[in-house]
Amino acid sequence: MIQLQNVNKTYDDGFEALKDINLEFQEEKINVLIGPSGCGKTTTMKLLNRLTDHTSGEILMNGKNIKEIDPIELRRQMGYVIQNIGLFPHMTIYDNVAAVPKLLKWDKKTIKQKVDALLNMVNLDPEIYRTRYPSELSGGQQQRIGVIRALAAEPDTILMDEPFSALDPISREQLQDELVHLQQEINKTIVFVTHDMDEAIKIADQIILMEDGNIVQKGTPNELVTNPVNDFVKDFIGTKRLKNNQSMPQLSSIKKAFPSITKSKPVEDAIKIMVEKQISYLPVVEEDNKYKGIINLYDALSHKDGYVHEITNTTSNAVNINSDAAEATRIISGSGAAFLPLLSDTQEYLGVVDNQALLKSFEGFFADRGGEI
Amino acid sequence: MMKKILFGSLFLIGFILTGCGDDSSADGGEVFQYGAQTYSDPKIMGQVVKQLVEDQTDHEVEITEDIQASPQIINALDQGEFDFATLFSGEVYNNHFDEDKIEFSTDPQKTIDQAQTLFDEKFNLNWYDSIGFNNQYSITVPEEFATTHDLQTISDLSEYASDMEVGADSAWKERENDGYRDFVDEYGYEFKNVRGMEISLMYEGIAGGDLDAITAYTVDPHILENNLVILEDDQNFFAPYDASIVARNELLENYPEVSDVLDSIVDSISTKEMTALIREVDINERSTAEVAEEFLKEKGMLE
Amino acid sequence: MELVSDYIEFWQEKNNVIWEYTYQHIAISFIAILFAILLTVPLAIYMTKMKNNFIKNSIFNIANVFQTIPTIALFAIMIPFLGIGFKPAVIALFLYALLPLLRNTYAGVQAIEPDIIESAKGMGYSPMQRIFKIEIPVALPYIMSGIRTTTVYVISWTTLAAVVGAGGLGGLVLSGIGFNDQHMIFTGTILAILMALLLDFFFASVEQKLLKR
Repeated sequence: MIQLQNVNKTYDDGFEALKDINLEFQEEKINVLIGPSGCGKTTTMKLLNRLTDHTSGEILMNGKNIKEIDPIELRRQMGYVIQNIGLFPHMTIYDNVAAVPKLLKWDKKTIKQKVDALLNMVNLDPEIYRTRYPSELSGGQQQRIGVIRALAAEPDTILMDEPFSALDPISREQLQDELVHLQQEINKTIVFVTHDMDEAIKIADQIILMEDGNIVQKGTPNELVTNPVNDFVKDFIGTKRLKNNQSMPQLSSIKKAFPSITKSKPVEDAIKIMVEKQISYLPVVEEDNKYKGIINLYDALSHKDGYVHEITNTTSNAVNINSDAAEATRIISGSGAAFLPLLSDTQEYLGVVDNQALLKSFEGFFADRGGEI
Repeated sequence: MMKKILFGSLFLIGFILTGCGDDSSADGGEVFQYGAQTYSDPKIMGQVVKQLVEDQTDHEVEITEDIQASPQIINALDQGEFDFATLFSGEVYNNHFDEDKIEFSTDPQKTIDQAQTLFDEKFNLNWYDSIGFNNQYSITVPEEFATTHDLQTISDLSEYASDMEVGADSAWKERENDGYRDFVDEYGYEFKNVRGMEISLMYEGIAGGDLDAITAYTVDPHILENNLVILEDDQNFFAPYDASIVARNELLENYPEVSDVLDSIVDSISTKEMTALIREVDINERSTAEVAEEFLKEKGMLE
Repeated sequence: MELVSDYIEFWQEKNNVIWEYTYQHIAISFIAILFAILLTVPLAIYMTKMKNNFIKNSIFNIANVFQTIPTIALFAIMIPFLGIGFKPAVIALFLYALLPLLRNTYAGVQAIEPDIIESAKGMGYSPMQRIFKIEIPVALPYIMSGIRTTTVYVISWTTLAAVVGAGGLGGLVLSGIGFNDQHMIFTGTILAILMALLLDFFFASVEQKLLKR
């Protein structure tokens, strides 16, 4: 588990790269650090393996302050993948992947098994690729090697600094898919730096969005998209992406207050309400406000002396308040009614939604999408 | 591109060479070429020849200095690139002639006789009689060393030779007849080490104590300058190196007036005089032209 | 034909002497290059880590000065300090070899992509492991080409060592010139060329072996 507590980083020239960062990386998840250049995302990552040291605050790894760990040891415990791959050109693929295990002085047999297993994991035949040199591989293949090289010493944590950004779009997509797939097998704590929101949304379990050395928002991709905390987050996510992920209008937002009547009341009371409000239907509720059904003005007028429950139509439709406008529209168009009663999860009567309000909500929804209906 | 540069530079070289080949003097005479070795006596002799020829004939003389070794000068004379030079009689033993044609001798007269005959035959050169000075190999040691051990002759060195570091010109180590190998046979001892090196650096070496003896040329003023003494060649081992003017026969036949001038140089400068002249040049750093002119005027050979 | 038989006779007669000059030549060049490599390779690598540009430039300038002194002059300059023979020759050639070796090694290490270094650092290579396992091997083509060219230069410059009494094939050539012996001149020259070519070939194959990528 990696925690950052009140971490600051100030450079010699006085530039404050990080300001009082508090952050916990989710274990065995893909944590994506994202933000515009200069926001401090890469610095944050480099603090973790002490390629950069923080100025104040504490970084705890499994409860231990990393300043007390020898940086060389620390780095060998973490995988590290960089943007331009950084494979060693003078070493074969085998030697590249085996680099850290060799530094850790694993025995030869174990190393070989590990390297072969990793090559197989990314679908590169060990028999073919073991003895090749990096320059003989395509960019995508090279970065696959970059990724498995980081996995070779079986670290719990892997740091990835914009690992796919130098690749062509097709290879990038492939490697993103592979990473997500791989993560299901290996379950590492991955700290992944990127500036590409699509990539973040695609692979992240947790997104940490940064700006000017501060964390602006963190959460699941869905949380960020559906609930951006401010305009910066909105801007960074992009209007288009926000809209595309916007859900149908919620019924709660177009709910109307509407009278109702208890089922034990005389029909005369109901007629009075309907005449007063100039309506031809009236929802009926139990004594505890649970929805019962509906009565109409014509039935009421022909049963003036009776009680409401005698003329209540209990088979009529109602809709849960958490449904969206599309659901309500489907029901309302099937029944031919002018409105639908809205119910809580416990069947309590809350009000109604009428077809005019529904239409209005769609008008607004599609206008936001750019008028494509 | 490379080709252009190559052709360009070849053209340039050709131009310079032909430019130099313009052999007509201001007075309507010829321009003759004198080639000098790297050391000072042939350079001074070049000025002597030049000043006398230009004074007494319509011809001019150009001097090319610092030719690495005498054999190269002989080659150039043979090719007609040089017309005159100063050479030393011992040169006749320097691998120019078949062994059956020549007999090594340390007798000065016999040596110069052979040089005159053989160089005439093979290279068509006129080897004049000696100018009057000789410049032969000698073994020299610091004066202090000589006094301490009471050394007069090369034979006296035998006792100390096995501890001695000797500087020699590069050729001495390898030459036959009067080279180091024959020296060992003749004197019956070996030095600890003989290093071939640049002549002028030998003096630095012996002054700095790295060398114990050097093979100096007898005419060299550095011998006195560095407090060295020449040990007597008691076995008469070293070949005589009497200096002579050498000229191409063809030239002398066409221009007898030049021959007259060169004749006048025979027997005109003694070893002592030449040493003094070299001293002016090497030690007092005066120009060879000035030193030669001064000497010729003093001698009354030049107005 | 007579030329050939004469030349064979020359070898039979002089082979001892020839090998002695050759041996001296090898000894002088080899020691000069070896010590130059031992000094410059670590120094150049250290210089790539150096932040102070003034010191770095000063080192390059000093090495550069030695290069600009004419070889024969540098030999002569050495004599008052180091005497004659082997020592001044080796030291003069050593000084000559510094710049090309320094420059090539420095450029080679400098030219390594920063990503490679960053990777190695991030993977937990210690500074020493980085130098020996990553930086030197990656910069090896540059370093080797520096060594190759310098070796060829030094072998040719070593012919001038004869001037300060250090012997070497230059001695054979100078003897040949002085004693009017074409065989000596030819042999000295050819052996120096052969030696340079052989060593160049040797280093090329070492290089090939070390980096088959």
